[in-house]
Amino acid sequence: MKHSQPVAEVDTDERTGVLEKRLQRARTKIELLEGMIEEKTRNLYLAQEEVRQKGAFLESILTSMPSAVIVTDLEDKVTAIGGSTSLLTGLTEQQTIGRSVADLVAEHDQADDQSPWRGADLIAADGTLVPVSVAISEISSESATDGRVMVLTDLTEQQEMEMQLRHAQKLESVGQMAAGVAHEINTPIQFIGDSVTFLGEAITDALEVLSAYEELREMAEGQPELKAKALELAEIEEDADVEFIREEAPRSIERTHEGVRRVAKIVAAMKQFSHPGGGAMSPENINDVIETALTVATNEFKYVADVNLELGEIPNVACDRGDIGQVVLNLVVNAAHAIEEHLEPGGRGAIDIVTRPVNDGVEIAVRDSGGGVPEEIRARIFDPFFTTKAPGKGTGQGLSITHSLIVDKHKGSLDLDVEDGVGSTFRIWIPVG
Amino acid sequence: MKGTIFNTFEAFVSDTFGEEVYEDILDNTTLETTEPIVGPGTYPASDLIALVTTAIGILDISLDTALIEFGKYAFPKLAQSIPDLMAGLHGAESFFMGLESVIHTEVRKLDAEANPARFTPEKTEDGMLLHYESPLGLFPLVTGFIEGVSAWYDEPIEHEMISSDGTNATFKLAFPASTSASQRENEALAARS
Repeated sequence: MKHSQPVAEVDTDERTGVLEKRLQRARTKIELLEGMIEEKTRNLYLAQEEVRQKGAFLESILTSMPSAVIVTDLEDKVTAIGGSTSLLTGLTEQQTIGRSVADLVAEHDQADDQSPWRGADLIAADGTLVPVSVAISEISSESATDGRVMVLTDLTEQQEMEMQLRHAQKLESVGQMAAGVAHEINTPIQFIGDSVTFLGEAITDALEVLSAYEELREMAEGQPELKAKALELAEIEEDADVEFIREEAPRSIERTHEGVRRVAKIVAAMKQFSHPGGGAMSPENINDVIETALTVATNEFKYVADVNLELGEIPNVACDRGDIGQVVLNLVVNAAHAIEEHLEPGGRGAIDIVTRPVNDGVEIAVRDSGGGVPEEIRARIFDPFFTTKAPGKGTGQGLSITHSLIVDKHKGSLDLDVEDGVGSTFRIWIPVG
Repeated sequence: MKGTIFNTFEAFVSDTFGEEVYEDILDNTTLETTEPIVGPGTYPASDLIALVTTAIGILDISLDTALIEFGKYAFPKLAQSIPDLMAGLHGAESFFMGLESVIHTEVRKLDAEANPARFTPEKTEDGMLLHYESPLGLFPLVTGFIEGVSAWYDEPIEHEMISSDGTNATFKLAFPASTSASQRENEALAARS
């Protein structure tokens, strides 16, 4: 390479001119670079802020997740956790990172697993197994798989709810069967009643005839040719204990009548209870509805409590008779169960049911002596499937259904007053309509 | 094209032929860019071609020679500006294998929209095929860079452009001293551990 103008030959003026041009250009470059640095710095700040906000957003999502989130590497070692992992396992993040997934999650053996919930168990620090459903996805970068993220959702509550639901479905079937039985009993109980009435009248007539025969037999004893037969008849009367029959037969018939009337009343109440009329609203006397419900619920409370009714003068209210009967039944059964739990040996509790007109509606108060709903569960008692009763004892739906029927369907209100250690009062108000 | 290439070209001309020569080239070239060029800026590639065209006229050299010499000059300058990235590349062969990630990292850091030349290495039994793809088709510049890499690592590289079609070219590379280079890489790794 060659050049026509070597550096050494440049004169001083020309050299000065070149340097001035380069100096000027350098100054402008500095200004441009300052502007660029300023812009880059601003953009960097904005980008960092965006990254920070996105990071915080993702962190908040991860933290608020009710499920456990476990991130693993390709060797199934835990590299990060999130969500409710620590809450469910009882292990801190430091205690969890680096562990093998096999130490934390036990997958169900599908062949041996008899439970209806397929999935896995999360192994807590104390060794308890938390049933979980597991969703797994791979974490991939542009060119390779880096690991896996596992989302484990606690199924404990779901399993309990499903168990309660199945129990409720069984009870519903039993209820339907009871309604059918009540329907079938209704007809025979009617002709039993008619027959008992006929038998009562027939016995009355027969006893009158018997009295006439006795008079005739006494007269025949004075006649020599009839005396032997009359004495034979007297022996037969004595053997048959006619006097006892005369005294007890009418009472027996009356007791049978009373029994048939009670069975008929229970059957009628059950029929009325199980056929609410298709959910239609109609003017109803709430006091009648309460008495019907109590007839059906008698077996639930009669061994543990006395029911005291203070049914006031109240107007008819537009309601679904079946719904209100269901509500009263739920509250009475609930009261009986609460009393049973707090009952001293040999003691009896009390269920007071009071009705009265309040504002433009009717108030039904059901008060029990069951010690009161504990404060820690008061907020949850109207939740579906919430129950503190032993499996099989309650479905956890009674108060939930009661709340829904009164508040949502009848636009009324349902309140709970508690006297700790004494009892609870459920106060229902239903508008007249 | 990134301003750092323009500035490297300016430094190349100034160092090799004198600052007055570069001013002469600048005075005799009509550029689209009206303001002084700075490293982080992005400018039309046609401006660099215009400067080079003026330069070969004033210096009375061929375009290929100019680009080769520029590549040889530019490589160590560019390498010195990215010491962290270069630290992981312990020899010529290693450098070419990691070239794409180095270039992409550096260029996209400065300009996310940039469309830099693409280098795809392909190992062969006796060396490597280096596939080059760029709309500018500056093949002699690649030759200069290869020689710059050779000087930087003090390793002889046998190179030959075996095919080209305007925007793509394939260079056949051989590394006669690759054994010693591998040994140096192993020593570097051992020293780090």
